[in-house]
Amino acid sequence: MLNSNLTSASLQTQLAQLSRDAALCEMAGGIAHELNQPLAAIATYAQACTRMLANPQADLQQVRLALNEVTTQALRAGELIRALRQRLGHYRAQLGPVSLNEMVTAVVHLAEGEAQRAHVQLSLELAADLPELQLDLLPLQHVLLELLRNAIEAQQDTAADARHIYVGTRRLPGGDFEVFVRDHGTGVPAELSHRLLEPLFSSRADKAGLGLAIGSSVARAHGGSLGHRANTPSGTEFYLRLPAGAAETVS
Amino acid sequence: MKADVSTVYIVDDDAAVRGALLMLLKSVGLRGISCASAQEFLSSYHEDQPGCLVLDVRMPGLSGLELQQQLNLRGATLPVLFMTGHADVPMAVEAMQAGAFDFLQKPFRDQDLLDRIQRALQHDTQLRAEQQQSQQLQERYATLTPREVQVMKLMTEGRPNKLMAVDLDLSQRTIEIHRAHVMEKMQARSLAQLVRMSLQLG
Repeated sequence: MLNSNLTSASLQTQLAQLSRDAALCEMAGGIAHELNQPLAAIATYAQACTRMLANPQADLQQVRLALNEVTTQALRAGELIRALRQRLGHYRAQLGPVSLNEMVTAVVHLAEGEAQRAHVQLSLELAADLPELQLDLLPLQHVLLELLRNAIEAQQDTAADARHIYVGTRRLPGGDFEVFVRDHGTGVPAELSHRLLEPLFSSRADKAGLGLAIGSSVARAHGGSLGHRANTPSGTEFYLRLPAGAAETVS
Repeated sequence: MKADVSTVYIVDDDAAVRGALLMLLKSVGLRGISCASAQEFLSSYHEDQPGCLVLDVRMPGLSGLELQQQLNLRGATLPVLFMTGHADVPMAVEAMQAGAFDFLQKPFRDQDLLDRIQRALQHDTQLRAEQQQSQQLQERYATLTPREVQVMKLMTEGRPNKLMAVDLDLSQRTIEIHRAHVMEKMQARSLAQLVRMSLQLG
């Protein structure tokens, strides 16, 4: 089922596609604050206009000033996006030796604050004696963080004392590797199950629904896959499967 | 910036955000003052000035979190509302743990911001009233003589005059005079009110 004898060349080709996704994630995170400033200004100016115009004796000069600012800030946001595009063009993905256990530990550490806030307990289940793998660390970290965040959110309706997420690594009998995130949340309804990895599919109005689709493409670019299985008695286990071949290319 | 009127202080390094917020505040009749940096705010604000602070969490120089710490060190009780980006959730958590009043993500709905500002201003007004009351109480208590302090303690424990006279080796008549002085100096209209005051004094 999995293509484990990847040539270095085909991996590079696939990583070229992956790099766009990964860079997008990374840049989007970095630029979010800068972009939020003009957006916040635009939203606030526009809302101030609405309030001012509710008054029949509104000071139209003030309204005009605010609308000019809206235009300026919208152009500024456009500039930022153009700069983002330019930086994207120069991005190159890099394969390097990665310890899965170290990667998992680092990402869990990142998510600790969020977990505490949601009163979710995080536990590590790391397999011993895993070899180093040739991977592109950055996008994989993003995928794992996304899985972890989803799991934390999936626990919202779980009893407070049962909010527990297990994050870990394992080696499968066939030699492949898996990173997993297991929760005891409400689980994935059967009718949504097959659509979960589609781009832009989201069960929540406030999410763009790109996370799992990008994760899936990151996994495929490594010759692996992203999937999920129901957990007993409740909840879901998401797994990121990486081929045994990822270990063999380490010299 | 001298102000006895409740004022919404805005600290954000972005001129457009400051301008927009000031205009929004003005449109609902709230008084706003803005600063471009944490340093600028710290050098011009005095703890006596009532209001609330709307603060960007991420700024060059002194960050929003550091400004909050400085205010805490100064003993300023000004409620702080943090504005954060989507990626700043851990910072927002830290801010809440350090005693921030609330936070909201940029960009926001004006009503969400204004509701939070109203709550913060109410909180500040209430807190200042309590502080003032507690200070007045301390001042009145400080005017009691050592004997009156003794009498007040026994009064609030519900000790009858007859027994108090025995305890303090005084005449009942003298006890009654001390009691009257305690009530007058503490400006208490009833024993129940005096008991409440003594609880507040700790």
